[in-house]
Amino acid sequence: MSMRLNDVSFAYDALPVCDRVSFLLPENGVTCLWGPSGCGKTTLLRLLAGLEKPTAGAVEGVERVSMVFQEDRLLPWLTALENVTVTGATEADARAVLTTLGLCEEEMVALPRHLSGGQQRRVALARALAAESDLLLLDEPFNGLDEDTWQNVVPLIAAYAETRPVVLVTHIRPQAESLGAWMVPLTDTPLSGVLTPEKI
Amino acid sequence: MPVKLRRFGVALSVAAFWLAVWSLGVYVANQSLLMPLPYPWDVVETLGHLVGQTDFWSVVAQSLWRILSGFLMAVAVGAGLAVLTTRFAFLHALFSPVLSLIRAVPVASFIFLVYLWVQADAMPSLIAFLMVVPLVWENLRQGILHTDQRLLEMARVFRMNRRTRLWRIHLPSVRPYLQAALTTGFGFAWKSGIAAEVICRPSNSIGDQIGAVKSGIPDNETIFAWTAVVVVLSVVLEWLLRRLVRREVAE
Repeated sequence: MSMRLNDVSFAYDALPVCDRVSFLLPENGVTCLWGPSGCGKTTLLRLLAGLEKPTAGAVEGVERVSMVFQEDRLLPWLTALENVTVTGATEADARAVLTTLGLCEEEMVALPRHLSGGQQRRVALARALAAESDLLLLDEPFNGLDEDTWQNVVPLIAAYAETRPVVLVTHIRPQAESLGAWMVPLTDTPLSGVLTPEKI
Repeated sequence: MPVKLRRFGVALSVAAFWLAVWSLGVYVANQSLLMPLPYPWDVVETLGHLVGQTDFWSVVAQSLWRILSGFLMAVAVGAGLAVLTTRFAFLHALFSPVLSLIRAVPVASFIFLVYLWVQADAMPSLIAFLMVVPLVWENLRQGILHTDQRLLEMARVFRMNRRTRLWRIHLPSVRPYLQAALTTGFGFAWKSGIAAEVICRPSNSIGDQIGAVKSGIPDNETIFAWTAVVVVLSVVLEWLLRRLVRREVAE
């Protein structure tokens, strides 16, 4: 079953964010939600992740999700490796992704507070990439990443996107371009109507 | 000089200072008191006699058991109440006045209030229980309320099961609050439990030994010696509890 938002409306208290929005996710590839701050990009991700319940309409076909939040949301009492395996990923998969993202053995067994901001971000990315999922949601995932790490992340996301959809929210357009993303410009406030991805 | 040796030296000097203050205080007080206060060496000597008696360890063990059982029961009940009153607002509204009441009533009042209905043997457990329940309840409730909601959201997104959420998020989040409740609560339980023993005099208890001296022949050395036993046990047990809790954290 395709993943989609079907005539979804949502409001934070009295503030409407979505008004009968429909959005059919491509079966694979990266889709970038693009628009000014406060236009509802993160809310769309939260609806897809099941963290918000639509006031009307439905989110359909979404089952196993993994996500990179705006903040790292790492468990401070677990090591970097445990933060990745806690989602159910095998240790071998977790090590492989962390290694690709440039973490050494010593850093893998360190608690998040002993890692730099960039390293913590990489652990959050590794957690999302190693978890078993059908949909990857990325909310400003590249904050704090240096160019080298960015170069390592791109192939991992691209590999994921070969078979499954990825929804990306970013303010940095070249990052979306380098992932060959479909762009969904979000202009209306509140969001409304059918959201249509456009190829860059 | 190695750090450990320096620390030992400091501790020894502090102990020597306070023993000197004690001795000097006794010397001055005994000039005017009818019932002389004991010097430190008299207390140590009496303590030596007590430890050598056959029933000493039985008395200590029974007091420990009474108070520890009340303490452990309070931890279980306090934890349960914390979970329920955080989950259900009406239960919090229902039970929070009881929490405030238990906190406000002085230990001695509790002892006299329930003395009429409860057997002397059960009093130390009950008093320890009543002193510790509100502490564990409130601390754990705060811990649960302060659990990072963003981590719980993350767990929801990644569909972590209940067991993983409990062991990986909820318990580590409340652990600092639980540690504080356990270490402070144990001190409360111990002191109030001994006070209950002194007043209610269950047989074979530390409190009975102290109380027996009070109502019988005046013997300050024995009171001081049993008080020293209480203090030493409190320090040792608190130290053990802290180590146990710390080890849990490390694991």
